[in-house]
Amino acid sequence: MNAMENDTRSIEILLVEDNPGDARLTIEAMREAKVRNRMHVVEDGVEAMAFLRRQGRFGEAPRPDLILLDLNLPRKDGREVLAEVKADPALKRIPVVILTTSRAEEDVLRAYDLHANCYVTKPVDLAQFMKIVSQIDEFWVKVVTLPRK
Amino acid sequence: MSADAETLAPGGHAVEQGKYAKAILDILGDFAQENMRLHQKALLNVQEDSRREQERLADTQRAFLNIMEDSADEKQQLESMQRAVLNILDDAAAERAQLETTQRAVMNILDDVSTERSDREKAEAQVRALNKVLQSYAAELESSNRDLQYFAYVASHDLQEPLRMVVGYVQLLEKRLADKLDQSTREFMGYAVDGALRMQSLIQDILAYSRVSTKGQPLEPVDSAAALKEALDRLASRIAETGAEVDARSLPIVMADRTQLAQLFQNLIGNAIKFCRDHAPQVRVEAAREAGRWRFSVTDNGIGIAPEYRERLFVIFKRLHTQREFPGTGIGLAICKRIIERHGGEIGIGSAPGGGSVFWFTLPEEKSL
Repeated sequence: MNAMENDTRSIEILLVEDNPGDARLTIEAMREAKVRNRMHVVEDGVEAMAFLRRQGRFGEAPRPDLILLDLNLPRKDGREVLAEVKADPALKRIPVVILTTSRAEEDVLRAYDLHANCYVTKPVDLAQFMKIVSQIDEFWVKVVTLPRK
Repeated sequence: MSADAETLAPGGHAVEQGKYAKAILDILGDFAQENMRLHQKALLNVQEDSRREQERLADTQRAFLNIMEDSADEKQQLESMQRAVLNILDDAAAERAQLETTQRAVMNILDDVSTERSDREKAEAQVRALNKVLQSYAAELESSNRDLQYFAYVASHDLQEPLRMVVGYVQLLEKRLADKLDQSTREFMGYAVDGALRMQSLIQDILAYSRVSTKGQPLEPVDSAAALKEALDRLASRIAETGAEVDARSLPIVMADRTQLAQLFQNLIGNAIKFCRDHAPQVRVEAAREAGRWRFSVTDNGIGIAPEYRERLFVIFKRLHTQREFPGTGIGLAICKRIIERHGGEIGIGSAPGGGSVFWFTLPEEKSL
């Protein structure tokens, strides 16, 4: 790392995604976008909540600055995770970006009703996907002011 | 009397006897007179009594006559009352007869009603039975609709993820290995990506097609000119690219789902612009009133469609051209047909005089509220 990068701390991102191929693609896209971050990947909603509450094997987990949440997940789905996070005073200020392939209107409405911070549909085309990931980074890491931990 | 004269005679003489006789006679006379007077008086009394009696009788008679007269009046009154009562009774009898007639009529009606009721009950039972059948059909339809909606949801999410993997990783390989790939490898990768992207458009189109009915809004009065404008706004860049001219004439208010009407115009005008070779597209949108509905037409100066192909044009994914000639999935007109069917209208195609096509469709006119 050079001196400039040390000026800003690297951000912690929790990616909740059950498809490893999809998760990897997101990580690759982040890498292409030159986002300085630490990406943590969990595969379902139960693990996501354990990570956020530092339970079990996630005892040492950092508090994420941003959650990228898929909607359709095994065991506990993304909607339940979203509802629990936004109902928990200790977690509700963490911005949650819904990152999903679903364009269904009902999913969009439901997510905002549950106080998702934004809803993003993953495009099929890789170049477009990379553009969107870099925009998520640009906005949530560089543009907005997030609450201090 | 003779007995009284005998008794007097033995002790007197003739003169004396005369005097006696005279005195007796006087006495007798007086007596007789007195007697007479008394008699007369008694008679007068009797007469008087009798007269009074007669007067009383006459009074009584008069009273009686009066009473009789009064009684006659009363009798007359009574008789007239009786007549009146009889009349009333007559009337009452007539009324009763009428009532009885009415009652019979009512009974007949009630009979009819009960017959009708039993008929109706039968009919109602039939309707209920039919309703049950319909309800079970409706339940089946509802459940198949739910399945379809679920399928649509699955298609919008689960089917796309594998496609994203194919496209994403092939493109990532292409990007990372850019320097090391030969022309053929690049071409193969291109086909893989094209296939997956086409698959994705097909899935999106099926979704759009199913949403016509699942996401349709109730029909309401809509200014078709505003819906057309919405469509033209969305086509703005293609209109600018092709130099197309779209001419719309006095479009009416119709009963429609505004979003779907705009989509209908977008698809039809989009086609008119697309299927036009070598010259600037000219599109004319018009509407004419028919019984209870409006008939719209979209006329173009494009390549036209041979009559034998016109039927299959509205079938989902049926196309008349190769991807090389005119790219597309063949969903546009199928969606148009579905939209029009949802509005209870008809859609069809004819030839324009200049060789182009005329797409026409009907929509219900605005209902007066």
